[in-house]
Amino acid sequence: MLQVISLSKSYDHKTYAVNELSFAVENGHILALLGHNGAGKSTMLRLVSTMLQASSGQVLIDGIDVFGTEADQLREIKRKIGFVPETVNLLEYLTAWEYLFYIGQMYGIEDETLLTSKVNELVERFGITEAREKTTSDYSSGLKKRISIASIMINQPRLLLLDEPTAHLDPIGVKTLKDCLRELRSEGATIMLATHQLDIAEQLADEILIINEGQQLFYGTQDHLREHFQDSDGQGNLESFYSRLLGG
Amino acid sequence: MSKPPHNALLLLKLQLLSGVRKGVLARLFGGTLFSTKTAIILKIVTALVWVGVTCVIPLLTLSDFGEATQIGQSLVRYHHLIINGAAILMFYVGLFIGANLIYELAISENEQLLSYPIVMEDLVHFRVMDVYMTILSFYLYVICPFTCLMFLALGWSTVWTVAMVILTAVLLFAVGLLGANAFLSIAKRLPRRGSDGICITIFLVSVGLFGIAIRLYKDGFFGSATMSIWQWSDLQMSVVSFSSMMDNIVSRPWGIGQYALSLAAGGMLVMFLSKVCVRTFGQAFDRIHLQADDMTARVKRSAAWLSFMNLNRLLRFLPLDIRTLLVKDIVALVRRPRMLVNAFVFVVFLVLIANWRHAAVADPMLFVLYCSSTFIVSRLFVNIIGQERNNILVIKQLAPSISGYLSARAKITFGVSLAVLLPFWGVLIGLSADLALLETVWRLPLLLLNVILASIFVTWYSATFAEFSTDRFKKQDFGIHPVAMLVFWGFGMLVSLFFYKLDLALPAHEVDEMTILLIVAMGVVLAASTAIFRFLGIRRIKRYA
Repeated sequence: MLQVISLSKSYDHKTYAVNELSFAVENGHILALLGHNGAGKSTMLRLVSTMLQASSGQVLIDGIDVFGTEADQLREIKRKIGFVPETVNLLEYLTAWEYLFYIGQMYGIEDETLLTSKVNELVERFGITEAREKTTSDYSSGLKKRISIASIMINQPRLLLLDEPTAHLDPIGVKTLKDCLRELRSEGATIMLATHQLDIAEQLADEILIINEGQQLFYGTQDHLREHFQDSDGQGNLESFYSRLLGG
Repeated sequence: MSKPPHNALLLLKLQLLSGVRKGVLARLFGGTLFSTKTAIILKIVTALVWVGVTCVIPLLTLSDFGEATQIGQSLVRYHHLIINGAAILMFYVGLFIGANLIYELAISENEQLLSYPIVMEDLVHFRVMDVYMTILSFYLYVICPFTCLMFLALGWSTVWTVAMVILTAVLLFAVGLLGANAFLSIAKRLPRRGSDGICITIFLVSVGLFGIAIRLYKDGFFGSATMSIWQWSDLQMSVVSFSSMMDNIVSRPWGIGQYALSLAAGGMLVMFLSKVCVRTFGQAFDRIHLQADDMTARVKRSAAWLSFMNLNRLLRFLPLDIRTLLVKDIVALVRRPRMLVNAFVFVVFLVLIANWRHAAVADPMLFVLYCSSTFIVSRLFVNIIGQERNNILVIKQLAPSISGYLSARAKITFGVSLAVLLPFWGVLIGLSADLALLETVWRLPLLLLNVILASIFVTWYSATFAEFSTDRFKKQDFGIHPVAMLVFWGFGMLVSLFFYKLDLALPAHEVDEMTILLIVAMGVVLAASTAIFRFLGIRRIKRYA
């Protein structure tokens, strides 16, 4: 379970990229993080993934504060986290297969036979062509994204953090991703995704968090959102709620 | 030092693999042939072959002729200077590696690495191990051949030479770590922006002061005309402890016990410094990480500090970069036999032009000085352009137009040229034994002009490659078309020849026909190469990249 308590991040002690945000995501739930460009979504995900240090507040993963724990415990926590950044920068000069293999090793999978079979399975599932021949830098941005997503699936993560996961993906890639996320959710994983694709959020998310300039505008379930923002005739979708809320 | 975490070791292995796959062999045989194991073996074998070749060939020459050659004699005569000079150099290498660590933290892919199951402690260990590798490779590739030869020339057996080289490696490694620690200790207390500046300031000021101090001391207190500057420097260096220790070993070879004890002491020193390095680096890391910016702020800063970043790239690992670049250029030529013939014809032409009307290269050292100034500045810059092109945001912010790009490029080229060459000239002035101070100072404007002209050329050259078209940032690793490279080298040589001739003629206030011919030749080459580039078209050039 992920719990965020009064989390803030400021780069210059004047303006805040994330300002006093609090929310929680249960195991087996998907939280969609929505907001304009520059609203603080990526910063939020980078804070939760411990890539950035918070200015104040707490991020609790399974009850452990990631900013206050020892390196050994944090290492164990990070093995449960899978993070796909918006801009995919894979380790260059490795083939796609090697990349997945070494990321598997970083996640602590020591059994090489098991790891090999997992890598082969992911290569097949995500349609990564010429995985043993082509280096990661030779792939198109869509396939790079697939490789990046495949790499975090290798260790069955308990917490998934996805920043614009559908960017650069073709419809088949999007479908594979959605299937994977549903599967992981059913297995009890906690998923947090930042996206501009409202239809993806609508299809997948159990809870929605809308932020603007680092501050929370709405946090709750989709039903909760509908209750608050439905039209006079009782109709409406996420897009119309979002537009009304953010003045689009 | 605690045991490095598993992921830190894995990252180091992947870095080694990446190094090999970027290398010349991988370009020839296909990069993915090499696994991590073969990459490690290849690195070790390359290092051993390098040390072996650089030591064995002169050694065979020594034994063939039965007496020490010029190199051997010089090494024996100036061994204090070599050992202490190597120690000073290693300290500077450490200093720049320390700066490199901070630089890496500020702008590199660390953030990306942290998106993997890696914690900061792993990253710190990885970067520190990376420091070890860099210091060791610098020792192996630059210093070790000289120390090997020196001990052999001093008459040591092969076994003792190897033993002494190991001891020297450990001690100089400690000196390198000391340099890295010195920089990190300063940097961690200062704001992030200052860290690059500190390193450059330390380097420029200390080297400049070193040159001036030697000059004043020699002129003011020493004042002997009978002893060369090298003999004098060696004598001065002999009083310093590190050199004296080696001297004692030379005069009274140690027993195994003494040797093992000193090796253990050196090892302890390295361990201690490593521990300090990890701790200090960790603190510096935390400080920088807490100040981490968002992308927009980072790009703005990068644009503002672009010249500084380039400067750092040049100053750090300068000898290694030049070695790599030379190898890359040579391989590019060797792979194309026709180009090799062209290169040969070109060199013959240059030699002929240099010796035209018996105006032979009268002062080879001066000629080398001009050529190397031009080559180092220009060649490194062409390489940097390739890296810079990857950062599309920086370029866009810095140069919305061609004129903006050219203007920025000219400023950067000139600034970096000065920063790279001024310490070099400073030492030259300090160590010049044969020239009067005034005469040496008078040479500076000429060298400066040489660099300005080379800078203008590089500006033009980089603009040619800048390709202000839609797909200009597609290629990650930017290479050079062999024709362009030949023209580039040739033009550099002509620039150097021009100033060299001008320098020689200046005392007599003469500008001979040779100089006029060179001016014409430069104009022709510039016009011809522009035409060649236009004719070949940018896209054809890109195919070779």
